[in-house]
Amino acid sequence: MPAIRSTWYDATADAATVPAEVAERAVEWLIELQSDDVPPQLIAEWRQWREAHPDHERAWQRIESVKGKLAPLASPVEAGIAQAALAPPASKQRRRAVKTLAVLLFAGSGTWGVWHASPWRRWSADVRTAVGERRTLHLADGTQLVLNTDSAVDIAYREDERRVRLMAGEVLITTAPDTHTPPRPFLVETSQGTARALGTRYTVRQFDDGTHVSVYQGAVEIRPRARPAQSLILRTGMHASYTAHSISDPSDAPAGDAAWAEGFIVARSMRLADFVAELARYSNASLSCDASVANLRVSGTFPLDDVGKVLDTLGTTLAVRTESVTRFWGAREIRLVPA
Amino acid sequence: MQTPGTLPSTVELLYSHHHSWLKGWLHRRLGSAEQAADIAHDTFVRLLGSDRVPATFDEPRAYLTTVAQHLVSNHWRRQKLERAYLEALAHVPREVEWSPETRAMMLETLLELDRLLDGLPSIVRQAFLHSQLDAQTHAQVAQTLGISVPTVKRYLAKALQRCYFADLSFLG
Repeated sequence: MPAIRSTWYDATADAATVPAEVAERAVEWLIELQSDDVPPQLIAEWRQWREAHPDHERAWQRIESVKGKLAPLASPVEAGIAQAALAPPASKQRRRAVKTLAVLLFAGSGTWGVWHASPWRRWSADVRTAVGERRTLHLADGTQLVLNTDSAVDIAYREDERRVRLMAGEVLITTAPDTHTPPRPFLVETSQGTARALGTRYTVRQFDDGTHVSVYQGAVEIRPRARPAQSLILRTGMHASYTAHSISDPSDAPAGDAAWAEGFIVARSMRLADFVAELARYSNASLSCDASVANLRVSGTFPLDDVGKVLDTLGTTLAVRTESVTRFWGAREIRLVPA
Repeated sequence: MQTPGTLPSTVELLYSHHHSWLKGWLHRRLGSAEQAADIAHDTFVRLLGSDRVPATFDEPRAYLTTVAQHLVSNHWRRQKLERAYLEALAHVPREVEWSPETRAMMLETLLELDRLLDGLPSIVRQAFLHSQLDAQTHAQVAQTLGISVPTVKRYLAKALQRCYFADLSFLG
């Protein structure tokens, strides 16, 4: 195979000098680390391998760096577009990818609330919704949780796993590829057991006497708390309920079960001024931002139906706050200024 | 390359003798005078940037058409991918708004990925996309594509090698 140049390699040009077998080993490591269950022992061995020789580290840096280049395509929506665009034309895969895309982007209304944390941050939080309220949470790894009315979750992300505890109510989960190396499993825990995502979109609902799971894309592995060995893998379009001791027979997922999803805006390291200009298209109030904060960068996914709240939320990740002015003729202006 | 003021370089000679002919050749192939002029131009730009242009040619036009043909197939490839991309975007509901910069960045990423994975069998590319972009597990990819998990891993090794280390030459 002839050598191919790419601008993706510019930052790690020195990796081109590593022996082919080191590059091959690095790729093998990546594949092993992306496996379903990665024992801690393997991670230790991988660390040792990296440290064993500068070539190993160079090869691994190349992987990390190019992985970053793939980021614009690596979230459920963008991955759908990549699948659709790169699949052979008029193929079954292309049609399926385009269909998946439409499902992924299913838009409802009536959501509000954004939680966006900086990447790599270890955090834990309790989030609750009031009766009649819905809330969308965007976790640091790109995973999205939509809490339905009267629900509560505790989010516990750790070095080795991403765990969400559903205390009450119902949650819709859309997992994203984990940016962490190695990728961590994603689990929803209820009082009856766990539902583990296998790259997916699904709902989990906690009832007093059981947990209900519906899968819209991908697959979910259910493990009753008292019988963890008795697991069941639920696939797309399937529904099942479980108690701490047993799992029901799977049935078809009820149609429209996730109809409480949302409309949103996606920003990826977007200039604040551009972000505000985009948002302004959806707002009756006139929006602007101070020149001194115009170049701050915004990342995250934000709902469009309450623009004022999105602006307020920006203050949690950026050093900005909103100033609201109502002109004497009644027009409202919201301006972002330095905090 | 020769210093200015001395003998004209190989590329200059090629240009003065064959540029119009190459444009005509490309025009017949592409059906557009404008695209033909662009690609003819790109062909010479590419030669100027290359340190591997021979000093003399037996068949200068065969050499030029080889380089130009490569650019033409890149051109078609890019057009095809752009069309597929726009088609995919057309299915995105209006609620999702990407800025022109984001769209451009996604397209550039796609084009580069497509280039790096070029020549791999379709199923290998699919395994890569499902696993690396869609975060499917190996077992899921195996199920989606109807192949075994060891085969998924073998395909991934091939595609990842190309994605991450295409600048290395492999014997295998």
